[in-house]
Amino acid sequence: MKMLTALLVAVALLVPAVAQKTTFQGTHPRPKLTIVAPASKPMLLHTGKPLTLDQKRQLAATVVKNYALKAPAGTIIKVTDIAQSPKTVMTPGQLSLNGVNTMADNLKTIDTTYDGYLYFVAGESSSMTFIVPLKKNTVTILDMKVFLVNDNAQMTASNLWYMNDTKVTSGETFNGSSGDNEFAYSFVSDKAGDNYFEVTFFSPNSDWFFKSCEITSTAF
Amino acid sequence: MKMISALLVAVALASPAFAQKLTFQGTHPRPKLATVAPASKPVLLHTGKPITPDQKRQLAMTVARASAPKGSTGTMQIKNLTQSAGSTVLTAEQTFMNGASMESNNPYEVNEYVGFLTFTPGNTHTLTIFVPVNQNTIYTLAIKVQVGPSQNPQMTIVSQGNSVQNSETLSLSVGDNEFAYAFATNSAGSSMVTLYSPNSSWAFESCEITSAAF
Repeated sequence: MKMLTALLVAVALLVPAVAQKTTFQGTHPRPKLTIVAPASKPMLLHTGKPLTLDQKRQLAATVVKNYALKAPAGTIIKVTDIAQSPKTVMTPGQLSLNGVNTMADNLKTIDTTYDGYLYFVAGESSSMTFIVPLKKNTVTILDMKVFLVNDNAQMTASNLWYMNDTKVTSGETFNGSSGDNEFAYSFVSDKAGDNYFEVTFFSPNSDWFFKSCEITSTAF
Repeated sequence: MKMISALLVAVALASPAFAQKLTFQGTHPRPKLATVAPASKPVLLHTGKPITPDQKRQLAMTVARASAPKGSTGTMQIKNLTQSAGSTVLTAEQTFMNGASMESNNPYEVNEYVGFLTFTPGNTHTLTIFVPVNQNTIYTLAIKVQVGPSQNPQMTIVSQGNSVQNSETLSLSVGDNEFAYAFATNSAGSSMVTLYSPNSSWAFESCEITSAAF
């Protein structure tokens, strides 16, 4: 009986402490987003050089072709030229634009004073996430510009979604070089409405700086 | 002689390697302004409630009086704070506006979807607000923060420049808090105000910057 009483007292003491766990609301609290899986496997392109418009066009076409293999028979697919699609450019000074939002965890520095950068340290916990609103039958390219600090630095793009409330991730890693790097990450969406795509970038072995991300969505 | 030649070759080989040392440049490099220290000790106001426009005016007046040249017999007129040329509001999503900007060191999380920028306790987890300043002007920073659960949460505000440092710590309550920090400047440049909590996690919500010339 004494043990039961002690247990009840312990629970009574613990409950308020747990309830007080830090949860910041933010300046504009909004409902939880519905993060969905891409329609086909996203693709990552890194050539070691700045990406050309042609390379981005080819990337978009390849991702759509991969999706088309799964599409119902008779589906006609024609990709609009990505050069003609509007662009959303995210920078350290502009981290929320046209419905695209970002999240960043465990950063070293956010500087929007004189230079403009987000400084991340090596490791999965220091990461930057993009949440992109989806439109039906579109191919989206995230053209990322980062600065990697170490030689043999790697960069990982990890796509995340939920399946029956269970988190699912699918990652891809490339080898970069120290200094400026550009890479593109592309995916197809076959959903619309309040559905979002989430991708997280981090470097497993190098400090890195986020410089910009140009996002282009093209209908097909 | 051989050793000198070898040394010269080594230097010649090493120099380009040094010259190639990577230097990171941000997305919008801008010229740095001269750092300006407050002309007198800044004044902090925290009532435990939202700060009213009247309280901000009184705060500015107090700072202006303290900043008046000693022995001056002239009068000093402070323009109505609400009439000063627009206010600048920095938030987690708008970290650069009208020349004012922010630098966060070791922030815990940035979430642009709901709009927060959070920090863990300690003086290495800081938010610095850079305010472009003019001569003979009072600046009032109305800062809103949210404080996580802790016993007697505190916040320290540091203003610095020209090796002068003013530091003040206030006690906050868990949840939403607002306080105002006012200082005067007697030259043009940039003033820096740094915030951190020594003992609590916290989230930056906004900083409204108003100015009044005197």
